[in-house]
Amino acid sequence: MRASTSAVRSYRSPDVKAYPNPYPYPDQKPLPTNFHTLHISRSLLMSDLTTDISTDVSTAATVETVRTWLTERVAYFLDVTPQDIAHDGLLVEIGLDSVYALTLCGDVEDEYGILVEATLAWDHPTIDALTAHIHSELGAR
Amino acid sequence: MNTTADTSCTTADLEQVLGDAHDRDNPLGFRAVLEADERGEILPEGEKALGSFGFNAEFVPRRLGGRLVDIERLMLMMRTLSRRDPTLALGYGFTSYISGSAMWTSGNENQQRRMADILLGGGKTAAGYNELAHGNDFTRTDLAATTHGDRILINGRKQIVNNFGRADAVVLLARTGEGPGNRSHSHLFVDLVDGPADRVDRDVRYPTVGLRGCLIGGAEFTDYPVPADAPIGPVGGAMETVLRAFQTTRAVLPGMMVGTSDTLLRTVTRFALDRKLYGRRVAALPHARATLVGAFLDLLAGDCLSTVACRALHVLPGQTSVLTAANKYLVPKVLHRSSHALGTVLGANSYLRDGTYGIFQKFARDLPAITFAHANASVCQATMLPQLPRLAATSWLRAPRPPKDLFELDAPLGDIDYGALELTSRGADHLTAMLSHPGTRAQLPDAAARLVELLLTDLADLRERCLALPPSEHSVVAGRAGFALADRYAQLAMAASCLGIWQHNQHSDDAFLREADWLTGALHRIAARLGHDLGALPDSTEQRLFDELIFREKNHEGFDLGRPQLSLA
Repeated sequence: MRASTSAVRSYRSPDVKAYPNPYPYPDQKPLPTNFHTLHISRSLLMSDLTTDISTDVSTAATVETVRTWLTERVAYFLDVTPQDIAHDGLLVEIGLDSVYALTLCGDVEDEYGILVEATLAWDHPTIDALTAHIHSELGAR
Repeated sequence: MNTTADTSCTTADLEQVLGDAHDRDNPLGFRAVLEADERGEILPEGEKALGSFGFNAEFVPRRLGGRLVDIERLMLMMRTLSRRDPTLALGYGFTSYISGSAMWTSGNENQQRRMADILLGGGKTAAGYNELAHGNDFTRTDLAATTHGDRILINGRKQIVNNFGRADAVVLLARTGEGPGNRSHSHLFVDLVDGPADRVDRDVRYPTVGLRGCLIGGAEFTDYPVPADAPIGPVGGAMETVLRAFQTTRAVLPGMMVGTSDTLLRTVTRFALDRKLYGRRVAALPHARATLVGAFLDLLAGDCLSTVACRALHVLPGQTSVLTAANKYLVPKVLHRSSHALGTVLGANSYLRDGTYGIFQKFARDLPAITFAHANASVCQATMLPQLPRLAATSWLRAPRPPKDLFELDAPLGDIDYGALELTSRGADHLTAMLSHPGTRAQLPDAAARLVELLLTDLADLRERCLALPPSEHSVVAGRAGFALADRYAQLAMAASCLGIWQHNQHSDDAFLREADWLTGALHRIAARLGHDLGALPDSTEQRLFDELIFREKNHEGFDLGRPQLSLA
């Protein structure tokens, strides 16, 4: 049942109206017309959540598994197949820009549970160089 | 050098120096400001006054003899200036700090002292980054520095650089390696006083629409020699320095613009109280009232996010790579839109270049120009975007709440530690936990709690979308959908900032700040920008906000969170 329309006044703030959100979600649902009188649940929303961040660290990472994983990540970034990635090619030359390089660092941290410098891929600019560095970091742990 | 510098100079002292803005005889008042703008000059009396005030000391860390302590202080100083004249604020100028930030981040002791000496001696330093062909795409920088024996030769051009023509030194972003990578660039500290003047042409000025008085220039170097110790930090390390240092400038500039918006809002408020239309004051017309209240709320919300961004550099230095980008993206955009809306109330007076309300058109032109001065909106969105999926996975709806020092306006921050700033946030985002934490929501009055509930569903929705974002959408070449996520994240960060500022200043002696009307109003506008069709603010809320606005105008108080007392003749 629709709430009485008196709950929502027809007048709208003019400047909000004049400048609509340039980025609406195409599938954004309209608010219920009784929004201003909705019951507030104040539910413990956080209790519904589980922490699913993996802290499990692969202890059996070999040079080969690191290289394979890295190659797959880079191929995924670039939307190509892993076979297209040369292990000794400069990542920046095959299209892995600075933004991807930073993102890749996050993936490495999440995958291997180690902290790496955000500049990792700048200083180790190929798959082979990255592999060697990550593998030695894992060994040093 | 003096290591216990006097930092007792306050924003109130600065306001005192600036005097009554509306006094027609004040050489630093709006009339003089407008006349200087017409001449395309930086207000000469203003530069003199700032010289006497030793304003440059605000750009230099305490340990080097300056007055730079925390970034919030710097922001409030810049805001005080840009409430009077954005051209003076930038032209005097803030770019000395922009170049300084790179130096304080990566320079060695000797270089830092040289730069501090220049600034504390009243000199200027320029920030030599921009090349018109590459815009904010710094990794494509062409100006080259090549080593020849025991010196380095500089060749190439910089364009759209504030104060280049009169700077004593410049921090120059130069190519020191081949290729597009991130190890191909270095900062150079270049002395322009003692170097060979015939190897550099600085005789260019770019006329601009806003900030007309600013000396926006450039330079062309031809085999300009600098000593081998000119590089700031390791050779090839410029991008790292930039990613750290510019977090502080991204925090300051939007907070500074809040001062510009203060004057825009004040001008239109005065008009609405003075002018009669249809037999009543403009201020009594519902459209005008709603617009004024909306601009007041946008200003407060902008202050909340920019204040939190500045404080986060001290309190959560590992998390500010994303937060300062959100600040630099959203606050200027919100304030800019607000200025358009205010212009509709002012009508024809919004474009008259003199008279009682003439200051409006100048500030309306200056406001967006401040944004372009440094790190544009799409660069900031592209900075946030690649980090959002990890923030979503690691932090959203599950991170702990940030410490209350992030929001407590009277909590001291200490000296800024540039080295503590991180290049990425590693997925950490404690600010948005303000929206999801039930303890926060339990304290809110119903109207605000309802809005927070709504914004929380937005955060949950954003989380799903960011987790599903393909890597091709992470970068500056992302499609519209990717940029939409960055926009929505920034809106939610602004909402969380408002919430935190409200919750953690309940001990304030400012009743308005403790009451929830402004919070409800600010969240309401954020939710509307996120596409929620909320209708108008409740009448009682709008009335309370409007009364506050009028009270502050009549009592010469600033419209921002700190409601500073403004000078009166």
